[in-house]
Amino acid sequence: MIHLVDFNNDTIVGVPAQDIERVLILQARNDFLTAHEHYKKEQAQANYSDVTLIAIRLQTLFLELQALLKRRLKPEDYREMFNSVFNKKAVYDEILNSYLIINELLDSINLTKIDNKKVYDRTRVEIENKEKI
Amino acid sequence: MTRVLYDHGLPFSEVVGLNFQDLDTRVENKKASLILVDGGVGEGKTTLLIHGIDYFNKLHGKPPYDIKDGTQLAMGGADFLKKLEKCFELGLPVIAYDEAGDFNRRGSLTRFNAMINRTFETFRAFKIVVILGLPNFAVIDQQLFDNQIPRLLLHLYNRSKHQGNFKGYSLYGMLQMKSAMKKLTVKTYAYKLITPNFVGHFLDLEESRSRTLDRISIKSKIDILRKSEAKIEGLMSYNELAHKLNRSVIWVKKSIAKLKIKHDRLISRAKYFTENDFNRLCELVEEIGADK
Repeated sequence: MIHLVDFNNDTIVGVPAQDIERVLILQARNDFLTAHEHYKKEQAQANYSDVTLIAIRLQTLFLELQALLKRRLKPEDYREMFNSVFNKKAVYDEILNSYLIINELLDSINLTKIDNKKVYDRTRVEIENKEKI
Repeated sequence: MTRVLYDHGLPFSEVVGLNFQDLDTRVENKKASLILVDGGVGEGKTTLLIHGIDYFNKLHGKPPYDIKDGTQLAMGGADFLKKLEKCFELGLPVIAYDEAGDFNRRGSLTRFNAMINRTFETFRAFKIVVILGLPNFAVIDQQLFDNQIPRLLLHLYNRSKHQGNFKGYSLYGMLQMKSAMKKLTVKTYAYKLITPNFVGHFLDLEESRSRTLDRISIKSKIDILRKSEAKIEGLMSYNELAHKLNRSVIWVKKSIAKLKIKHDRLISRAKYFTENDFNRLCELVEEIGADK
């Protein structure tokens, strides 16, 4: 539990660390996507661009999720991803590949999964009755 | 000529047909299916009930509903169980229950709810779909909703000269509306708060059927008025006399025949007697008591 000040009424509220961690992971993911967008834009405009920023942002994301990745991935896959993320000569394809694995993992643990509501034909009331009652 | 069918061959929007089919399948699986049709006076409840009967009859290869015969349309609680049994005997797939005359009596709602509950608990095996027409679906007991008996609500509104309109709600929608109605001063506003599952239209009956229906419906409503009038005037039926005299109905009938009392009024085959007749029967009771 992390205690934060609620400035609206000068009280201290407790927020589970888990909730804050979730936000931080999403923030790191968003930072990576922003950097990726910038990299692609520069590349399209034929300006000089390197992968340093996206590589660093991926490293941040990796470190944020390190324990989870170690737990969820096979040891050899974890080792491979670690080497690829922290490779001094970072390659775009490898960065993207690692990001995709992490992203799918975040989806599988329901952190970024948003299509979790069943889609059904509402005009057939019996289907709704079965789904919701 | 007035249009009685849409291009797809049904007198109502296709979506209703699909929902009716789903409910028919449910009944085949021995599960209770109650369809509710609600709306204000003159919105076309009885018309839609008859369309519903026709549709289910057609699904099961039966002829369209014969309005004159009236087996599949019960008007009032007393009629319902009798006709339900008859429908079962004839192998008919659906029965409609029109509220006519049932909701205007004190205590009728409790009786009605108890009857519906009992009907569905006992007669589920009949495999008959029940369509119920009433002014507001919320008068139905929560227990029926808890038992998940009502499955579809068709709320009728803004009927025009050529067609009626409805909104369709699932059981989930009905429960949401029922809850919203508790907090609202204008109960019907709840229909605007909850998004319907579908909306649609329905057409009027063929002119000849419509005329017959009007005639029967008017006759039944006049009977109800005459019965109410008899009650206000203090007239009593055999049952009421028996209840007041604490005697059996058979005893009352025999005594009336013995005293050669003639009934004051005859309303749909039920005889009604005056206060004087009641007093004469009271005297007879006293005489018998004195003899003993």
